[in-house]
Amino acid sequence: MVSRFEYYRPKCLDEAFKLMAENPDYSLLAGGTDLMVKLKDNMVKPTAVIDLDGLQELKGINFEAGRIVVGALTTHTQLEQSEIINKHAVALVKAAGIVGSPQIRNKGTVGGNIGNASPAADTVPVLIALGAEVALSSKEGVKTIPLEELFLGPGRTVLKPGELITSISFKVATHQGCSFQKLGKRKALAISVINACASMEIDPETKVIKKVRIALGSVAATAVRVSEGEVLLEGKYYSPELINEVAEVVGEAIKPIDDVRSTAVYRKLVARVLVRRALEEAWSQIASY
Amino acid sequence: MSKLTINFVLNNQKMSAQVESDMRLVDFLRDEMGLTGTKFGCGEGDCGACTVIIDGQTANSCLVLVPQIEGKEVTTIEGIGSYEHLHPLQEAFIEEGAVQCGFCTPGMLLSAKALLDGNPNPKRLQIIRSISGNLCRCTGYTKIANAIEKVVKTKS
Repeated sequence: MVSRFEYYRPKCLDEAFKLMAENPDYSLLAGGTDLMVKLKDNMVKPTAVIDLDGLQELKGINFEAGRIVVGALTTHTQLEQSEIINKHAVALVKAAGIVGSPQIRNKGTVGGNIGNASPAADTVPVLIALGAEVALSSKEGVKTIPLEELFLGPGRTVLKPGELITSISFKVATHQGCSFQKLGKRKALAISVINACASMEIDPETKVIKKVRIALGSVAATAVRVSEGEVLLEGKYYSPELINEVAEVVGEAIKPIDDVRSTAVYRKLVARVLVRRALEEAWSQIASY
Repeated sequence: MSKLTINFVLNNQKMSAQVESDMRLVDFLRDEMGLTGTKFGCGEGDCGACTVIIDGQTANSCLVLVPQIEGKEVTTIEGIGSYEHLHPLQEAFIEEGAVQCGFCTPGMLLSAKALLDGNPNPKRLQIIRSISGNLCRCTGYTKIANAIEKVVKTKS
């Protein structure tokens, strides 16, 4: 039997860029939990598989200038167990801890979860709600864009040939709550039927809601922000009635489809529940400061 | 395309092997190493039958390319006990009737071993979570969790 592709494990980013340039039909391998399935099913036919595991610069979780910077190769298990993430982004801990199975979380990386561009990815709505930016590197340099601008459609991103995701970062905010909610068909190994994340920041003096981000997954071709709901909250005081109204508006605004996992009608109904729960929990986190 | 030489540790033994770059770890273990205790199920990371331990963490060996184990330590079911000296988890699985058809058992045992290696006193929920990536189509989960819990209680 002849190998379908060559395998490379670069030791630094420059070497990775060189390999990408020399092998135009490359696939990047991070945790492999998505790529290996695509290879099995012949959904991708690379001539070269470039294993990123040797790139130390893509690993680790650090504070840099008031932001938390997560290396793209950080696994879901590492995210879930990180002290920094547990202290500052419990919603991300929850999302990372609910992806796939222990085996998948041990291998699958946050950069891979993003780069795979599944509309049902669990870490993506959380990172969008946290206002995350992704760093895209190529031999020309690094550019940083808001995460929500990365996605074009299922499996499609703005990443150009020769470019790769190197890190994801978000600002550490005080007086902020952030909650992730997922509905899957089982408690483990379940691709989200729908997921939602809401972050809320208040003015500590007046208690007025300053900033809200509501992001949902599995309701469109990409994870989406629902600004119709966000604007209803900003500049107001929290109240259960207002939360219910926002949940209604979000449920109306989204345009999910029928697919193998669920129906559009059901998703619109459940979106209301998940958004309400996410906002309630985000608020309770703020209230407990 | 050429073969790659990889060096790794398999069940506590240093090894060197020539492999095709597109070979999956599960196929390498079963077809090249003759270690058929690692089962092949779905090939997509959904069933956990092919679970092995790589550097202390469980992984689906159907989702790993052999060249990825360069420099790493791999443990399969053949590496945790022998016919003469079963691993305490294996003893407990037998005593508790935690094996029915047996197909999921190697993966279940490795997930349980990885849990206990990192946390000798897990709670029931942690035990259940640790085997959440291993499907048992006989649905014998209660007895499997009981068996793992028995090892925890015996040790402490």
